[in-house]
Amino acid sequence: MVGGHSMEPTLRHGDRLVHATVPARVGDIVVARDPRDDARWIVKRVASLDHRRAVLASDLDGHETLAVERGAILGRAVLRYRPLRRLALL
Amino acid sequence: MFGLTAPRVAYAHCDIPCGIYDPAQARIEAESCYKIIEKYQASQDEVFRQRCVQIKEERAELTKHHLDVLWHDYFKPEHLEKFPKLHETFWKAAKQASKVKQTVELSDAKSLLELIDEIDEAWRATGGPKSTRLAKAAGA
Repeated sequence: MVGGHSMEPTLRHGDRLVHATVPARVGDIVVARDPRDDARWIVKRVASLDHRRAVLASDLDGHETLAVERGAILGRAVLRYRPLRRLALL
Repeated sequence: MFGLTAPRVAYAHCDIPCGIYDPAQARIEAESCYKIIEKYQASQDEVFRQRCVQIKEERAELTKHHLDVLWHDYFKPEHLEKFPKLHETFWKAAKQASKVKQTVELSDAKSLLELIDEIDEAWRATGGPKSTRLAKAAGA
Protein backbone atom coordinates (compact mmCIF):
# COMPACT_ATOMS: atom_id res chain seq x y z
CA MET A 1 0.00 0.00 0.00
CA VAL A 2 1.19 3.49 -0.84
CA GLY A 3 1.68 5.85 2.09
CA GLY A 4 2.05 9.52 1.24
CA HIS A 5 1.58 11.88 -1.65
CA SER A 6 4.95 12.34 -3.33
CA MET A 7 4.07 10.06 -6.27
CA GLU A 8 0.85 11.80 -7.22
CA PRO A 9 -0.89 11.74 -9.60
CA THR A 10 0.31 8.24 -10.58
CA LEU A 11 0.07 6.84 -7.08
CA ARG A 12 -2.16 8.17 -4.37
CA HIS A 13 -2.06 7.61 -0.65
CA GLY A 14 -3.81 4.28 0.01
CA ASP A 15 -3.38 2.81 -3.48
CA ARG A 16 -2.53 -0.93 -3.48
CA LEU A 17 0.28 -2.15 -5.69
CA VAL A 18 1.89 -5.37 -6.80
CA HIS A 19 5.63 -5.28 -7.29
CA ALA A 20 7.69 -7.89 -9.12
CA THR A 21 11.36 -8.71 -8.70
CA VAL A 22 12.32 -7.76 -12.22
CA PRO A 23 15.25 -5.49 -13.09
CA ALA A 24 14.40 -1.83 -12.87
CA ARG A 25 14.96 0.62 -15.69
CA VAL A 26 15.03 4.39 -15.75
CA GLY A 27 11.45 5.65 -15.59
CA ASP A 28 10.11 2.64 -13.69
CA ILE A 29 8.32 2.99 -10.40
CA VAL A 30 10.12 0.82 -7.89
CA VAL A 31 9.80 -0.35 -4.33
CA ALA A 32 13.07 -0.03 -2.44
CA ARG A 33 14.49 -0.14 1.05
CA ASP A 34 14.78 3.33 2.52
CA PRO A 35 18.51 4.15 2.85
CA ARG A 36 17.70 6.00 6.08
CA ASP A 37 15.86 3.07 7.62
CA ASP A 38 16.42 -0.38 6.22
CA ALA A 39 13.18 -1.73 7.66
CA ARG A 40 11.12 0.84 5.80
CA TRP A 41 10.04 0.56 2.18
CA ILE A 42 9.69 3.48 -0.18
CA VAL A 43 8.05 3.79 -3.58
CA LYS A 44 9.68 6.17 -6.09
CA ARG A 45 10.51 6.52 -9.76
CA VAL A 46 13.97 5.67 -11.09
CA ALA A 47 15.59 8.87 -12.34
CA SER A 48 18.99 7.41 -13.13
CA LEU A 49 20.74 4.13 -12.76
CA ASP A 50 24.26 2.73 -13.00
CA HIS A 51 25.72 -0.63 -12.10
CA ARG A 52 25.99 0.33 -8.44
CA ARG A 53 23.51 3.04 -7.53
CA ALA A 54 20.12 4.41 -8.45
CA VAL A 55 18.62 7.83 -7.99
CA LEU A 56 14.96 7.63 -7.04
CA ALA A 57 12.75 10.65 -7.53
CA SER A 58 9.24 11.68 -6.60
CA ASP A 59 6.66 12.45 -9.27
CA LEU A 60 5.36 15.48 -7.44
CA ASP A 61 7.54 18.55 -7.89
CA GLY A 62 9.40 19.80 -4.85
CA HIS A 63 9.57 16.41 -3.18
CA GLU A 64 12.45 14.27 -2.23
CA THR A 65 15.00 12.54 -4.41
CA LEU A 66 17.15 9.82 -2.90
CA ALA A 67 20.23 7.91 -3.97
CA VAL A 68 20.14 4.22 -3.04
CA GLU A 69 22.35 1.21 -3.61
CA ARG A 70 21.03 -0.71 -6.57
CA GLY A 71 20.62 -3.73 -4.32
CA ALA A 72 18.14 -1.77 -2.20
CA ILE A 73 15.61 -1.92 -5.03
CA LEU A 74 13.19 -4.71 -4.17
CA GLY A 75 11.28 -4.70 -7.42
CA ARG A 76 9.30 -2.85 -10.00
CA ALA A 77 5.74 -1.76 -9.29
CA VAL A 78 3.76 -3.47 -12.03
CA LEU A 79 0.11 -3.22 -11.10
CA ARG A 80 -2.10 -0.77 -9.24
CA TYR A 81 -5.11 -2.84 -8.21
CA ARG A 82 -6.99 -0.82 -5.63
CA PRO A 83 -9.12 1.13 -5.61
CA LEU A 84 -10.59 -0.88 -8.46
CA ARG A 85 -11.53 2.23 -10.46
CA ARG A 86 -7.79 3.01 -10.60
CA LEU A 87 -6.80 -0.48 -11.74
CA ALA A 88 -3.85 -0.12 -14.13
CA LEU A 89 -0.62 -1.66 -15.25
CA LEU A 90 2.30 0.56 -14.30
CA MET B 1 9.62 -13.22 -10.46
CA PHE B 2 6.37 -12.93 -8.53
CA GLY B 3 6.33 -14.01 -4.92
CA LEU B 4 3.59 -13.42 -2.42
CA THR B 5 4.49 -11.70 0.80
CA ALA B 6 2.36 -10.00 3.41
CA PRO B 7 1.14 -6.60 2.19
CA ARG B 8 2.99 -3.67 3.69
CA VAL B 9 3.31 0.06 3.27
CA ALA B 10 5.76 1.55 0.78
CA TYR B 11 6.18 5.20 1.63
CA ALA B 12 5.83 7.94 -0.93
CA HIS B 13 6.12 10.57 1.71
CA CYS B 14 6.53 14.18 1.01
CA ASP B 15 9.52 15.75 2.61
CA ILE B 16 9.15 19.16 4.19
CA PRO B 17 7.00 21.19 1.74
CA CYS B 18 3.65 19.44 2.16
CA GLY B 19 1.53 19.79 5.20
CA ILE B 20 3.55 22.46 6.94
CA TYR B 21 2.55 25.89 5.70
CA ASP B 22 -0.76 27.62 6.13
CA PRO B 23 -1.88 31.10 4.99
CA ALA B 24 -3.33 31.49 8.48
CA GLN B 25 0.24 32.13 9.66
CA ALA B 26 0.45 35.22 7.46
CA ARG B 27 -3.10 36.25 8.28
CA ILE B 28 -2.56 36.19 12.04
CA GLU B 29 0.40 38.54 11.66
CA ALA B 30 -1.53 40.79 9.27
CA GLU B 31 -4.48 40.89 11.68
CA SER B 32 -2.05 42.00 14.39
CA CYS B 33 -0.95 44.83 12.11
CA TYR B 34 -4.56 45.87 11.62
CA LYS B 35 -5.29 45.86 15.34
CA ILE B 36 -2.06 47.67 16.16
CA ILE B 37 -2.95 50.43 13.70
CA GLU B 38 -6.35 50.77 15.37
CA LYS B 39 -4.66 51.14 18.74
CA TYR B 40 -2.15 53.60 17.32
CA GLN B 41 -4.90 55.78 15.90
CA ALA B 42 -6.90 55.70 19.13
CA SER B 43 -4.00 56.77 21.32
CA GLN B 44 -2.51 60.19 22.04
CA ASP B 45 0.37 58.72 24.02
CA GLU B 46 3.50 59.19 21.96
CA VAL B 47 5.45 56.47 23.75
CA PHE B 48 2.61 54.01 23.21
CA ARG B 49 2.35 55.06 19.57
CA GLN B 50 6.06 54.49 19.05
CA ARG B 51 5.74 51.03 20.52
CA CYS B 52 2.80 50.36 18.19
CA VAL B 53 4.89 51.34 15.19
CA GLN B 54 7.77 49.15 16.27
CA ILE B 55 5.57 46.09 16.87
CA LYS B 56 3.62 46.69 13.66
CA GLU B 57 6.88 46.68 11.69
CA GLU B 58 7.89 43.38 13.27
CA ARG B 59 4.49 41.80 12.53
CA ALA B 60 4.48 43.09 8.95
CA GLU B 61 7.94 41.60 8.43
CA LEU B 62 6.66 38.26 9.76
CA THR B 63 3.70 38.49 7.37
CA LYS B 64 6.15 38.83 4.49
CA HIS B 65 8.17 35.91 5.75
CA HIS B 66 5.15 33.61 5.95
CA LEU B 67 3.95 34.69 2.51
CA ASP B 68 7.37 34.06 1.00
CA VAL B 69 7.71 30.59 2.48
CA LEU B 70 4.19 29.63 1.44
CA TRP B 71 4.82 30.92 -2.06
CA HIS B 72 8.16 29.20 -2.53
CA ASP B 73 7.68 25.99 -0.63
CA TYR B 74 4.00 25.07 -0.79
CA PHE B 75 2.77 26.13 -4.21
CA LYS B 76 3.85 24.08 -7.19
CA PRO B 77 3.67 24.53 -10.98
CA GLU B 78 0.45 22.54 -11.27
CA HIS B 79 -1.17 24.96 -8.81
CA LEU B 80 -0.15 27.85 -11.01
CA GLU B 81 -1.92 26.22 -13.94
CA LYS B 82 -5.11 26.21 -11.87
CA PHE B 83 -4.53 29.71 -10.48
CA PRO B 84 -2.65 31.67 -13.17
CA LYS B 85 -2.72 34.88 -11.11
CA LEU B 86 -1.04 33.25 -8.12
CA HIS B 87 2.42 34.79 -8.66
CA GLU B 88 0.90 38.22 -9.18
CA THR B 89 -1.20 37.89 -6.03
CA PHE B 90 1.80 36.86 -3.94
CA TRP B 91 3.83 39.73 -5.38
CA LYS B 92 1.07 42.21 -4.57
CA ALA B 93 0.66 40.76 -1.08
CA ALA B 94 4.39 41.04 -0.34
CA LYS B 95 4.36 44.63 -1.63
CA GLN B 96 1.30 45.37 0.48
CA ALA B 97 3.00 43.94 3.56
CA SER B 98 5.85 46.38 2.92
CA LYS B 99 3.33 49.19 2.70
CA VAL B 100 1.76 48.15 6.00
CA LYS B 101 5.24 48.21 7.47
CA GLN B 102 5.68 51.79 6.31
CA THR B 103 2.28 53.33 7.06
CA VAL B 104 -0.34 53.49 9.81
CA GLU B 105 -3.38 53.34 7.52
CA LEU B 106 -6.09 50.81 8.28
CA SER B 107 -6.99 50.65 4.60
CA ASP B 108 -3.49 49.34 3.84
CA ALA B 109 -3.81 46.59 6.45
CA LYS B 110 -7.27 45.73 5.13
CA SER B 111 -5.93 45.39 1.57
CA LEU B 112 -3.23 43.07 2.86
CA LEU B 113 -5.82 40.87 4.57
CA GLU B 114 -7.84 40.70 1.35
CA LEU B 115 -4.80 39.59 -0.64
CA ILE B 116 -3.98 36.93 1.95
CA ASP B 117 -7.58 35.73 1.69
CA GLU B 118 -7.15 35.34 -2.09
CA ILE B 119 -4.07 33.23 -1.46
CA ASP B 120 -5.99 31.26 1.14
CA GLU B 121 -8.63 30.39 -1.46
CA ALA B 122 -5.95 28.91 -3.74
CA TRP B 123 -4.41 27.05 -0.80
CA ARG B 124 -7.78 25.54 0.11
CA ALA B 125 -8.55 24.58 -3.47
CA THR B 126 -5.22 22.74 -3.75
CA GLY B 127 -5.79 20.55 -0.70
CA GLY B 128 -3.95 22.69 1.84
CA PRO B 129 -6.28 22.14 4.81
CA LYS B 130 -6.36 18.38 4.35
CA SER B 131 -2.60 18.05 4.27
CA THR B 132 -1.85 20.64 6.93
CA ARG B 133 -4.47 21.04 9.60
CA LEU B 134 -4.99 18.82 12.61
CA ALA B 135 -8.38 18.08 14.09
CA LYS B 136 -9.19 20.08 17.18
CA ALA B 137 -8.84 18.28 20.47
CA ALA B 138 -12.15 17.02 21.85
CA GLY B 139 -13.94 19.80 23.69
CA ALA B 140 -11.75 22.52 22.18
